[in-house]
Order: sequence, then C-alpha cells, then structure tokens
Amino acid sequence: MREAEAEFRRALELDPKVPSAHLSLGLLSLRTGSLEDAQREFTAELVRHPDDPRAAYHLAFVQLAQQKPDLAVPLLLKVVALQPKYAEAHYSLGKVLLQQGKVKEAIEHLETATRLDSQKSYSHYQLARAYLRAGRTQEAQKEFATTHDLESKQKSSPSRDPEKMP
Amino acid sequence: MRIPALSSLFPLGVLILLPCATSQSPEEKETPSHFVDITDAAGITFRHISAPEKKYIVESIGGGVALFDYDNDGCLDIYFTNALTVDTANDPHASRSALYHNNCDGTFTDVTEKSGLAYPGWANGVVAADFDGDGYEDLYVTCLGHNHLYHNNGNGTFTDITEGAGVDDTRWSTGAAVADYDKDGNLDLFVSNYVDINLSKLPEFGKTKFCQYRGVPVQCGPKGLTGAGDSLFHNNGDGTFTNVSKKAGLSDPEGRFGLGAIWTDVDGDGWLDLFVANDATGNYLYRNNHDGTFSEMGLQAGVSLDEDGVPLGSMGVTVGDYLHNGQFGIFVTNFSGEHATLYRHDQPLFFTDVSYPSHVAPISTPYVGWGTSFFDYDNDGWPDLIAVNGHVYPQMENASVGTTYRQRALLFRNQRDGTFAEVAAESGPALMTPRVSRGLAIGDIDNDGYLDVVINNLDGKPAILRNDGASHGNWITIKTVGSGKNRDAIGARVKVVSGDFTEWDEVHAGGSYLSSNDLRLHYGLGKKTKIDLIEIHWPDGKTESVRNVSANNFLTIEEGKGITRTTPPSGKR
Repeated sequence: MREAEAEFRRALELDPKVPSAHLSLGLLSLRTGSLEDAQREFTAELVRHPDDPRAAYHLAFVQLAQQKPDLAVPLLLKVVALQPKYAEAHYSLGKVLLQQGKVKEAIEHLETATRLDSQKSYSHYQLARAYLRAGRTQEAQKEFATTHDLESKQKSSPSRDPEKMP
Repeated sequence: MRIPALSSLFPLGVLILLPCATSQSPEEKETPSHFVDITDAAGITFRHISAPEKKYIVESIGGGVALFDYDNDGCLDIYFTNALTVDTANDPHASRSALYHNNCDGTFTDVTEKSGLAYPGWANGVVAADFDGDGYEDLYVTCLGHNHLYHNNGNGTFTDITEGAGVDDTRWSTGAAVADYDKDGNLDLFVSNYVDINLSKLPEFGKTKFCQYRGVPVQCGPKGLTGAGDSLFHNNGDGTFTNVSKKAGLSDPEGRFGLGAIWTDVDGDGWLDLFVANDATGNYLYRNNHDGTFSEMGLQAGVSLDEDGVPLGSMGVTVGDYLHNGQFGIFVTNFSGEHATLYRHDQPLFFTDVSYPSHVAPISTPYVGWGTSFFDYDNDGWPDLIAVNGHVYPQMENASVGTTYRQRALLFRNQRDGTFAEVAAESGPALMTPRVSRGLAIGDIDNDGYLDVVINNLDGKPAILRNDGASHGNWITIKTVGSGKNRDAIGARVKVVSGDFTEWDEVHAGGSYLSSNDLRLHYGLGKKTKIDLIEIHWPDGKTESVRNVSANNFLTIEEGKGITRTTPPSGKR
C-alpha cells in the first residue's frame, strides 16, 4: 500500500489535477482506518473534479462513519443526481433520511434502490422499516417477507467470514 | 454504503484506534472503579475443560455461570458448568461442573460433591430459579444431550428431577430463561437450542468451503449445518411441565441457531415477551399475545438484524434502562468482523440500531462477544455495559488476520447522553487480560454495594473480578419476594425515584450468555443518599410503593408487606 501511495503522490506532483489520484489515496486511507485522511483526499478530489460521483459517494461514507449525516445527505443527493441508477447510493440516502425522520423522501429513494437491485435484502429491510414509520403496514409486511426470503437464501452461504457475505 | 461494512474494509484491530468521545469530568476520571482478579485468593480451583484444538463446533460453545444463593445465607454462591469433548462424550465423569459455597468472608468452598451437581454431562448453560416456590433456588442446566432440572433440597443437596418434571430436551441446548409468561403464578422455562448435531457424523475440520475463516482451515459451522428448534415448558404447578413450544409459537421451526435468551416486558403491557439471540441468523423477538401464544416480530421491531438488515452472529443478550426513560434497550454480543449491537427502544415495539452513534460498534468489531450485562459498575446511577470475549477458532492466535483467539473484555461506561465510552483499560488489568471467555454473571458477591463480575472461560480457570469501586457512589439493592409460587418475583419491574433520577429495572432469570445473574436488583444512585419512591410492579399485576428509603442498604421487599428487611453492606473494601 505504501508503494501505491507513493506512486499516487508522485503523479500528483507531476499533475495536481490528475483524475482519481486523490480518490485513490482516500481509498487507501480508508483501508488503514484513517477517516480524517480519507476525508481530506476525497475533498481534494472533489475540488478538482466536482462531478466525480465516486469521490462524493466515499466522502459521504466517511461523513456517515463520523456520525455526520447532515453533511452526508447533500453529497448523496449529488451522487444520485449524477448517477440515478446507482442503487447503493439511493439505499444510503434513503436510510439516512429515514434516520432523520424524513420518511416520505426516504421511501422514495428506498423504493428506487429496491427497483434497481431487487436482490439486496438490506434495501427491502430498510424500505419495510420506512413503510412502518409511514403507517403503511401491509406494504411493510411484504417487504419484511422479501427480506426474510433473501436472508434465508444467505443462511446456507459458506462461512461466517463477513468479507464473503453479500 | 452500508456502514457496518466499514469494518470489513479495515484490517481488524485498526478500528479500535478510533477515538471515542468522553464526557467524563476530570473528577470522575481520577477515581475509576477497579476490578481485581480474586479467583485464586477466593479458593476457586474450577477449570473448564475442552479439546484445545477445537476441531468441532461442539467444543467451542463453552460454559455458563450462575450466581445464586442456594442456602439462603445472604451471600451469592457460584455454579460453573463444564463440558466434555468429542473424545470423552460418552463419559459424563470426564469433566466436572462445580458449585462453590460463598463463605461470606471473601473465600469460597467447593461443595460440588455433596451437592450432587458435579456431572450433568456435556453442560453448557445454567439458570437459577425457585421453580416450586419452596424458598430455595433450583438449577436448570442445558447440555449437549440430556438437560437437567436440579431441585434444591434446602440442605446443600440437589436432586435431579428432570424426568418426572418433563423438562428434558435431548438436543444441543444452550440458553435457558425462566419466567411466568401466562400469569398463572408458576415459573415456566424456555430453552434455546443451537445445532442439530450428530457426534458420530461430525463435519471434518477444514475439509470443505464451510470450514474456512479468512483462508484459514477451521471447525465447521454453524453455517452449513442444520439448526435445532427451541422449547417452551409450561409449569403445571404440580411439579410437572408440559412442552407447549408449538402451541405457543416458540418452537423455531426454521431451526435458527439459538443461544442467549431473556424474558422481558418489551411493550410494557405487563406480560413478558421473549428475546432470543440467534447465531448467524436473525434474532427472535416474541411478543406475548396474553393467551399462551406469541407472535414473532423481530424484523418488524428492528431487533432481528443490524441497521442494514444483516443477520449477525449473536451470542449473548442483556436489556437495560440505559437512557432513564423506562424503555429498555437491547444489547447483543456478536461475532468478530461484525460488532455488538445496541437497539434503542424509540416507540412501542420499534427499535433503532444505534450501535454506531452510541459508540459501541467500532471498538467491538475485532471481538467475538459472549456474556454481557447492563450493570452500574460505578454506582453513578446510569447502567453501564460489559461484554466478555474470545474467539471460537484457536487457529486465529497465529493467523495474522487481525483478530486473536484470546481477547480482553469490554467495559462501556454510560456517558448519560445515549453514548458509551470503553474504559476497561482504566479499570485495572483484570479486564484487560486476554481470555477465551464465554459465560458471564453479575452480582454483588461480597455484599459491599458494588457489582462484581464472574466469568466462565473456555479451557481454563474462571475469573472472579471483585469490583473495588472507588467512585463512592451511593446505591440500593432490592430483593423482591412474590406472594405466590414465583417467590423471587421474576419478571417484576421496579422503578426507583430519587429527585430527578428515575430508573427502571426488571428481575431476570437467564440472559447474558448461558448464565444467570444475581436476582437482586442493584441501582447506583450517585450522590443521592435518599430514595423518594420505590415502585414495584409485581408479576401478578399488582403495584406496590415504598417511600423515603435510605441509600446504601440491601432491602427485601415482600409483596403486600413492603420492606421486611434492611441490611447494611458487609463486604470488606
């Protein structure tokens, strides 16, 4: 990882605007557990390339890990505007909005997430929770049932290694 | 962007470097409570036995511990369960469980042989409760194979009455929890079962894709194995029980991998509900329908999975009023690479996974958590948390995959704002000692007003950690005595009010991981020296209040009689 970091730094010395260099450094920082370094690099990438959805997405990731949902939401809104078919971004946005009590908006993004990728049990789970909050009990039960079905398939997955979990 | 997945991005162990904010005042920091390992000094020589290589999952589950006063002398005695191995499975005398009598002077005496509790077989869990209401605590021991109900004869001996009582379960039983779920005045028994295992057809170590962890060959399971259903035994009140699992809706036909279990009145309707921690599968929350049946609603309530809808490897469970709002949060210990989960009770039967915002998630990620309890270790008036840890794969010790086999305990100090700070390092080396821990029970073993910790460790000696509390917080301990056969008033909810302080607790038999805490309820009071109100909501529905009580005493409150005994602390500090 150190060699990779050195290469990216060298590339930035040669061209401070080289695409994805700060993004890659941010991802390396994430792997070493340094949220602050990651935040700095993702921010630097966005300064140079404001419409890079990956940098915005990962910066939002860091903000959420730092329990700063208010900072994460605008970034996620930007990501889904840039990449409307990115299911994970819709999921994350829906989840944060639900935590903030913005149930209607949360449902909108969670429905999009499940429509874009129907096999992710966690999207159905979050949507079910949102429906419950909205008093839409029957729809919630349906989503819980889908969650349960998808979870049951995963019960027989090979190991307890989280890295191998879907 | 599922935040729990953050843990799998990082090498395990790195996350423990993340800072946890603390709001402790300098004054509080100067006087942390201190846990001292007194196992040897107390005369505890018990050793848990298991096959060291852990080639099979049956050898990793470990044992439990019960803190109970079997002879009613006012001091907590200790029972440790012990296990067999695949090689010794047919010889129940190959390992010995142990009962230690508390001499009330800081030492214990091994009274196992006389008690008749030495050889239950391949023992896992234990719960203490007075099933027949004769005033003496009985024991139920869960095993791989036949379980045992030991009747306390009141003279230091116990009689195995399992067969006549009808409470055997020959599967691989783990957790056990006792409560009067149908309000008929008799204590009923729930038993969780883990894996449907055949010792003559065990999956071979490391052989298949089901038996690898981070590229290292390990024991197989529970994934890839068939789960076992659970059991509910209804107490008929005549010394016999009836298995009502299917009728009640608690039989677990899906066969989830059941471990810790606890009865608690989740929705505050006066009827006890049941939470079951399931390994590698979603947890159960059974809501009591008031007619002898239950409705499973873990998913709907938000306590089955983590915040991202992922089932975790759940082991132990505890509930507590950690926010002082009368709504019990649920804390669950889980497998490494995941994190412990704290579910906050926001609305009736609607919980939110607050593991990350409460700060319990990041630091717990490298650990495999087991025994756990809410307990106010520093008597500041706010329930704290403890979780004991230890991996299931000894192969992790030298695997360099970011986790270890032996692991320290985690002590979370309640910061009074919904968050916790991990403070084990400030509380003496005893909690920082790496162990392969499993069962955990909390109780005031020296009656000094500070809650102590007893741990059953795999493959070795247990740990008796005396709490030499230095914060000098005031406290009150309440022993509830019911008027009927439920003598310990298991399931009673007790509210303690002192000025602006209000805290609820509940009498539990079972919980943690395979273990049984002191049945007495302990409340830290901080600087408050007087209690304005103690309000007891008895299991039979009656409510009783006592007022103007001095702190720093052990109270006995009998249903319909108020305080019948007040005892000052006697422990040596």
